[in-house]
Amino acid sequence: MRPVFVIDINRCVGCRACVAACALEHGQVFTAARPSNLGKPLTVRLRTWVEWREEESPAPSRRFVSSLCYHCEDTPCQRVCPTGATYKTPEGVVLVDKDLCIGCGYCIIACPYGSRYRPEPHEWHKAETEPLVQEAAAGEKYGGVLFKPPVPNKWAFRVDAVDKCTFCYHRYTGDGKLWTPACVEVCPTKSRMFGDLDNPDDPVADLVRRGEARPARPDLKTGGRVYYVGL
Amino acid sequence: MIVRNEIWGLPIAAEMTLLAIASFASVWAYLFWRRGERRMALLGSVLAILLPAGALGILVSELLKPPTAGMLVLPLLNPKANLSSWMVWGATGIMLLILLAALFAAPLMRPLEKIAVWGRSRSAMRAIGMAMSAVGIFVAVYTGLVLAYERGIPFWHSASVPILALFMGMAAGSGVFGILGRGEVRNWLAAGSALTALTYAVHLHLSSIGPAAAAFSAAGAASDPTTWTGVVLALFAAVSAWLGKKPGVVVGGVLAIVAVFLIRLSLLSWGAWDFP
Repeated sequence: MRPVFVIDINRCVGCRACVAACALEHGQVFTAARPSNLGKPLTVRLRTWVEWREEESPAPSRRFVSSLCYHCEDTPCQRVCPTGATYKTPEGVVLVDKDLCIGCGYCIIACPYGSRYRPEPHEWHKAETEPLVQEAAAGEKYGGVLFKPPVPNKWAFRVDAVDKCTFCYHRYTGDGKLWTPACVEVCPTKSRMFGDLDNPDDPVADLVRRGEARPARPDLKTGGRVYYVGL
Repeated sequence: MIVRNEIWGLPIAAEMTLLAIASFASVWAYLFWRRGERRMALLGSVLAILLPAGALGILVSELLKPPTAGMLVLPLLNPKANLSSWMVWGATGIMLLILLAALFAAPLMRPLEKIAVWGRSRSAMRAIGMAMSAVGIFVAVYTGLVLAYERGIPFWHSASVPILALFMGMAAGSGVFGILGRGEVRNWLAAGSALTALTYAVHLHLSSIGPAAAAFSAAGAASDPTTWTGVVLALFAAVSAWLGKKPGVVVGGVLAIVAVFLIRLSLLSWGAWDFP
């Protein structure tokens, strides 16, 4: 099985249900749901984000580009990780062993997609102990800050390790059958799709095979398991 | 979308500057020992112990698992350590530098003279001194290699960065002895400072005609007072050390160390990604 993630930009309405689902699933502090946050990589400090791209010419337009870890074939983050914390599963999912990660940030520097972030312990501890301190005033009407225990899994958010998307690998039971990531489950427009490249009948993998879904930055030559339609 | 690096900043610049000073201080320790200048040799080797230790202290304070971080980076203590990461080799080099400098310094300290028996053999001290110098130079180059190796930040992904790091080590390590007024370091101090300024200027130019993120970094760095203050101070250090006598070398030493820190800070803080 080779899981593949396809994002159809044309279908995304920027609701960020995916961001919320991910934050809840993995126990992250949920600060990115405010409309003022345009979702730039490394500033949202979440595993997945939705960037609002606005243009004035030729006509005013807005697009929503959601992103996550690309789970590269040629993995820059794994190559530089000093402790061996970053590793790849047989299915090609790139994960972080939270016990081995020391938070040096070298993988964040090496990732050309901005898919990793380092929790700043003082911020997160504060959010944990006083959940509504900083964000409540500005974000109250949008739900403020939410912090809850994650769905138990060894790749869940921790303040003492670098964090990244896992394709919700904890949902994989090891039976060779494809699972559904939390963000895909909640996406109301089916903009986020998950498939298996090894399954010839998989419609999502077919988008990749037909060339309809393409990598975001083929020039970086990292390969990867995230493809875009309409980017 | 271009996003500026905020991961490695001021603390890492300070850490790398300490490593730069220690790197060539160890080389000078060996050279002074060969000239029979015991006190200067001792000073250089003690700096090669204390400054890397301080650098590691700064680094550990930046990490998310301070108690275990040091152990996890060393391949001797962590069988899963990734040998394709420069950080592993850098950490190993820094630890080796501390160890070799301690072996070199011990026989030069009067209270330890009798215990450090290898100090009685000139060939043993020569071997330790040469190894210490080689590791010292590696540590200087490592502070550039660790940046240049990865491709995410085009401003750092350049062959000129490790070369710049070598020259910065040369300038800063010689600068310490320049501050003490040692005329022997004059040429190295002047050459290291001048080459640091020249290499960084060339690096900025090459980056400005490179990929979008590198051009952004170069434009930002070129307009940053940190950058041009660093480059100007490095040039002043070179001229001061080259033309002046003892006071000129002292001034050159101070300016060189400040310049190395500023240029390092500029290099780090202006790194940027070009995200999809």
